[in-house]
Amino acid sequence: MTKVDEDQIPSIWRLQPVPKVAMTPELIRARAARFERQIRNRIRIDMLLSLGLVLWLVVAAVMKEGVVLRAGLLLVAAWALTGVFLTRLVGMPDRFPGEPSASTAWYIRHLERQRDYMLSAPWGIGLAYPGLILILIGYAMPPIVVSWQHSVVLGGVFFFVYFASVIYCKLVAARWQQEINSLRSLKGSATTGDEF
Amino acid sequence: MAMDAVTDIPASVPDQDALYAEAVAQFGASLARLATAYELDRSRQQDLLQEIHVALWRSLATFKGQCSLRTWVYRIAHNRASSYVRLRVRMRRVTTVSLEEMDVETSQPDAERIVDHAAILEKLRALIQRLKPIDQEVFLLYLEGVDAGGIAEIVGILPSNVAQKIHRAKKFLQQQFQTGDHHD
Repeated sequence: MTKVDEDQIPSIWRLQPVPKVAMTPELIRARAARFERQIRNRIRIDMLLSLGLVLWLVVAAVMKEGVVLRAGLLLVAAWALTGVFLTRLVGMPDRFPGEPSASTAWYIRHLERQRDYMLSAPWGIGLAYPGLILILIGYAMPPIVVSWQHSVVLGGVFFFVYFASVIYCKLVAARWQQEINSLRSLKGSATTGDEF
Repeated sequence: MAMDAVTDIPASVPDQDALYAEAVAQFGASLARLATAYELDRSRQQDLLQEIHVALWRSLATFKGQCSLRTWVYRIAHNRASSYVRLRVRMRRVTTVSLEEMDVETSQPDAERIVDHAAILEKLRALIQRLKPIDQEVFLLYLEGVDAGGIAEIVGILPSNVAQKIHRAKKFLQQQFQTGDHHD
């Protein structure tokens, strides 16, 4: 009868044939540079698309009639422009940190970022709403006057989407927080502090 | 990282290449095994392994003996692999479990005895794939023969928690790879 002892398993693991990676420092340097270029290009594309949206909104504000509608379009344009600058601020590839964190701390930081992003997302979305509301009002006022009912229904949809996204973000953030707490307990640190 | 103006290639700091060569000589095989554990698809294993090597080389520009080279290498490798896995989990919506939850969710021992090393390795990889990130790392480091103190330093959790997880892992392995004996 053949029996595999659990203490043999690590040896079996370590004796497995593995693929060899022949990476010279030159090849690695080239790959690292390519990675940084890819990140920069992706951010540039995102920024160009956002700037295109801003430009379109500004042009629309100039072309449309009605002060309220124009104000709404310009507010949404300002919101999009802020998004572009924030992307520029936080999105560029970073320099390598001084020392790699222990995995748990690193993973906690990552989860905290995700949690904070989820908690701040409703604020980010919400800031677009004053402009959107003005646009809806602008369409219901002279000289355009689409129809009040149309604007009210659309406004209701906007608010429903907003509150649904707030609830979703809160639920996801709570899930990340649970994971953070469980990791902190593994580290032996207190679980109070950053929780919301 | 400073960039070479002509080639757009980041310049290395003194000793970076030498440190990288030393790290690869000592831990190259471990890194390759780690890549096979995190990524089952053979064609993508090389990609992950190369990403780990690039991350390691970049990081060594700032290595000044803050910790042992082993701790540094494993931290970089696992952090990079975890990022890779997170992306994959998000894309495939894979459910992961902790070592403590394994007997409830995955412990369904094979009816046949597992005597073939290839089958053992395959089963180990399948198991690792299902673990939560920190548990994956503890389990892999245990398989690599790193002691509990070393694992605690690399992963950054209490040694008592490492010991508990290793105990759980051993018990699980025993359950998985010895159950077949009852069928003889």
